[in-house]
Amino acid sequence: MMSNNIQIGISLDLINRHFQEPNRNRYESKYYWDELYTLIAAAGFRGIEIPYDLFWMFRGGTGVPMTRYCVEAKFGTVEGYRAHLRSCGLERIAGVHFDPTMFMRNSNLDFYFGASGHFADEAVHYAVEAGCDYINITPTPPVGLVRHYHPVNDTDQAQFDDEFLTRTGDLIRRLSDTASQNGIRLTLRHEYWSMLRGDRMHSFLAQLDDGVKIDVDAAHIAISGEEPATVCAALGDKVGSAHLTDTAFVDDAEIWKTVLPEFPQHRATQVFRDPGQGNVDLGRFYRALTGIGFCGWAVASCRQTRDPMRALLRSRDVIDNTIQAA
Amino acid sequence: MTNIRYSNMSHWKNIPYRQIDNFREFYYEDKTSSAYYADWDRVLRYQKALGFDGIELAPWDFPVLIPLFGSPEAYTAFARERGVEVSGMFHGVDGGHDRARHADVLESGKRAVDTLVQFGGIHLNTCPTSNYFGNGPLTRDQVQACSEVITEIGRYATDRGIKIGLHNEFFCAVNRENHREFIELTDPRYVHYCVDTAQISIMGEDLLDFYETYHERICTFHLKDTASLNLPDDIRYSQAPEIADDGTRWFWEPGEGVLDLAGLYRLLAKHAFRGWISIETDGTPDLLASMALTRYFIDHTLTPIYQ
Repeated sequence: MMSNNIQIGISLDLINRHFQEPNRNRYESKYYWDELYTLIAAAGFRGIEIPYDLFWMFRGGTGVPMTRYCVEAKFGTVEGYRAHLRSCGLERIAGVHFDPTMFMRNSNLDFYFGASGHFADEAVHYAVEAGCDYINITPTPPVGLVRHYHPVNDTDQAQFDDEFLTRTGDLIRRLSDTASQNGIRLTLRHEYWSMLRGDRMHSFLAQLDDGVKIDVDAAHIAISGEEPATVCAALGDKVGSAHLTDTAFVDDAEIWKTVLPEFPQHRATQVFRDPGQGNVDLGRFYRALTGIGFCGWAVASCRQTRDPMRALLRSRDVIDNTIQAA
Repeated sequence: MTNIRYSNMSHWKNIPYRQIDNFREFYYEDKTSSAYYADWDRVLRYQKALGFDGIELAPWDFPVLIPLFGSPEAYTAFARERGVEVSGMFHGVDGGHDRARHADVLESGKRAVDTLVQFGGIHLNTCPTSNYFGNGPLTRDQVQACSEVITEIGRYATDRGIKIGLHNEFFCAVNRENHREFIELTDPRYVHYCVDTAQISIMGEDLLDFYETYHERICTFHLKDTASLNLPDDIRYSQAPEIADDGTRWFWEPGEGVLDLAGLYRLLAKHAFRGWISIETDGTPDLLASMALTRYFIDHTLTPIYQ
């Protein structure tokens, strides 16, 4: 039993929805997920995080249970889905993660902010109805992708960034109002490739109301060149959600500036490794969460795993033998 | 010189690397087969090795593919260096039966044509409108509306050297009851047809009769097999039937289903078809195995009939 107020869950991001690998077609059918839920529970998890992945809605499929549209197609209602999860041993949808990167696909910023705003709002309401503790938002696409579609000269760069982040701030405020009115926490994911990389996140956060919290993702922090536990301790009550992630990647070639920063083109590597397979001290990170009195969910994320079943058990092993021991 | 050139309709999904030079190191990180499906250099080499000199691109992959290479032209150059050219791309029309949406439909169609021109392909294989679920059955006026906007896209495409090939999915709002009526309402000068051998058979068309009837309109194929001829309405008209909940596959490699593909090739010979045929392996758990299996069937069953 945990002696603190931290609950540990796992993200459904361990299922690769976008990149080629043998047998990936099964991830598009309902039968795969129905069995997966029972296996997640068998691995000792009772709570999950859902990536709100709109790709599958636009593709016309409904088998990947990551949007309201898909869930309602298969289970009738969000409550119907929750009941199904409970019958499989999963008691809670801890949180929902929304990432607007798929809408950074052309030079039209009105399209980006319009689509992101619409579907982020849908994700917040979904999280509310799903009984989540938090809605976690990726505030900007990778900076390299933004630069690809919006190339500006050095003189105009600061002005472009200011305008982009001002509109982002307006969007986050609106989402935060919705979240707080409905009693859930809104957190911002701090990613090493973000336009809010490093300290820019903290100045951005300072412009928002106190209800907006930050998500600490151990691997992202480590790749940024900082020590996850130290960052966590410094943030204190600003922490609203946490991700137990691992990495051995060192960004010594400014990969954070590239269009696909998860895939370093100069030297292929698995940037995000299954927990325990990298060199992040997750025990120390967890102690730091405990030390700041964090009360919420810490979610294991294996977004680049080569084998989801192995990732489930690797995560459980790290939780039992490193984190619980800590 | 052969009459048929073979392409592969890309269902690779996103491929995250252009070219992996540290392949052994990457493999050893986790010692799985993932490394074999992670870069375009190897994927294109697999295709070339199996005799597929073309690739038909999927637009849902573009948000990763185009930034990865920088531009469509850069991707095409990269593929050509490996002996593969872009034969075409898929395009899905949403709302073609609804005149109120025609401005957006036409704009989207023109963008697709322009993108394909940048890639250097010629076949824009186009699903004519939205799914049946939520839209069907279409009135005759809606079918007419669909034919009008497709013809407009076709006119724009023809001016730029692109051929629109109608590609009717079995779950499209244009369906069994109005499929041929719709084709005949489009202008044959601008609108051609891409026969997806499995899709139209699942919808209820007789493959050989369809080709015999429309061979002059047919510019290319998606070649695949099925064991699910003439699916009932309650499946074709259901919500999102393409991916079955229980994992049932609608599409199989040529020779693994029940279609008379040898009979089709005898008709290709009769009408002296010339052009690209794309194999399509959607639904397979192993694209590379399906591609090899298809190549064997082509070489041993189809090529002796017509090539």
